[in-house]
Amino acid sequence: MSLPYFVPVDTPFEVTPPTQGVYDAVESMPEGSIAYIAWDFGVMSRPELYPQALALTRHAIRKNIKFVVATMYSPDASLFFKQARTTGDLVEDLNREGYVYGEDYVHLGYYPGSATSLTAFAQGIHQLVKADIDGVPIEDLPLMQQLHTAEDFDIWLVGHYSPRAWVGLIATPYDAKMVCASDSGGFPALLAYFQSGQILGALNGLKGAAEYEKLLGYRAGGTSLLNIQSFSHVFFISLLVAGNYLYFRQKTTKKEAEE
Amino acid sequence: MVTIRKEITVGIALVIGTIVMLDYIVVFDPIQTIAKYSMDSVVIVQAFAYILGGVIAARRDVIAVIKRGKYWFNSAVMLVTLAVTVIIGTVWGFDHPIYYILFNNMLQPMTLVTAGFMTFYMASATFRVFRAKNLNSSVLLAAGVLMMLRNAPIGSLIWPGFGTLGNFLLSVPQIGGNRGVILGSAIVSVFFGLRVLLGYEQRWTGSAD
Repeated sequence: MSLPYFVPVDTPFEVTPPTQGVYDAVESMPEGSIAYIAWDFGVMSRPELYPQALALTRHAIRKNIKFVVATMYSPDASLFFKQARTTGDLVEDLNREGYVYGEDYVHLGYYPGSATSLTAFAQGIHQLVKADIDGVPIEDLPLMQQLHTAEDFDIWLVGHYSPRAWVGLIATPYDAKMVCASDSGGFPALLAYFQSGQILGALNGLKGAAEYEKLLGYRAGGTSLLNIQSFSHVFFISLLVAGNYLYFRQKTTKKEAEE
Repeated sequence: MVTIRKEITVGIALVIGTIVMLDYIVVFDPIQTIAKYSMDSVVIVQAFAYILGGVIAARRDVIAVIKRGKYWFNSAVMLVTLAVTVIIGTVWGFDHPIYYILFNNMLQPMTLVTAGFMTFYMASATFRVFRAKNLNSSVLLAAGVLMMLRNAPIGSLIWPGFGTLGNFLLSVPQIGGNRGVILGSAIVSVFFGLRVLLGYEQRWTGSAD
């Protein structure tokens, strides 16, 4: 299963409509729009969600979309984003586009309370949030002065292991433009919202991340891990075949012995 | 005393829950203010819940170490790691390099290794359980294989029809079933919420009833 990690094997794939929907939604945003980007996943779901969140954020930066990153469900993602923007994968993108912290993007950190804190945030940002992740008062962050409720965001890019709550709490009541990225387990539920038009697009685990990387024209975690996933699926299918072969052989042998 | 304490807890839930619910239905400033204040307070309450959880866990492990029970060494390790993380996090903040070392080089790999262990159970279960014993298990098996091949690019390389069939399964029967589940769980949530508000559901108070 780990072989493709050491020996890169590229398997071609097509971009599916839910992924294209995400791309088109971000692409259609005019320069200077404001996005809420949810980096909301823990260590367990990091392999699938980090490449997705990274690709979504990179796309927003390329489009010169201002953004706010916050976490309501898992504190881990706050550290992932902080590392990505200070020393990691996003430094080059932010510098290239000349992003200034506080004016073009803000990192609010973790707010415990899951759905309740998300609802409170949507109803009144300044009542809930007093400072960013580093303790800088939000009065000192120019971008935050433009944001008061969920209605002030032009688009919501949600990277979460099960973003259904976001659709119910934000997309529907605020008629907000929303795209979601989830792990493969959460994706089937999102398709119902995509088909009904409640969300504009959805990313399906590593496959979605790889498709998005293809659309953005770079190769990173999503693409390389997708090849590992391909091999692991083949491995599991071979186990299924072997298990069923042995089962039927055992059954036949037993029947023959009885006769 | 325990009953009174339980009644107070249920009473608080009833009042706050009703106000938050009314906020969705009635446009009335005092209700909106109280509802907003309650929801903002959840962030603080949950932060304290983390502290309480830490204290309870630490107390259990301190007792285990003092009594030198069967796995007291595990409890000692837990106490040391808890103390180190809390001290570094509160004294120097989570920007401190040691905190990042703990997070990146210890917590993340260990969590992922724990998740990785599940692969062995899954492989074993796949081999033993997913057998075409009857019609139901055969359908499950076929759908599982199809979705695995649909989700991995190698499936379309073997036969492009896997993608088409998988997309049909995801977009038609799956969505129909999922909508039913979404509607069902929404209705159940409403009734569960009502049971909590009316005090019929008390397990969350710590009661066994």
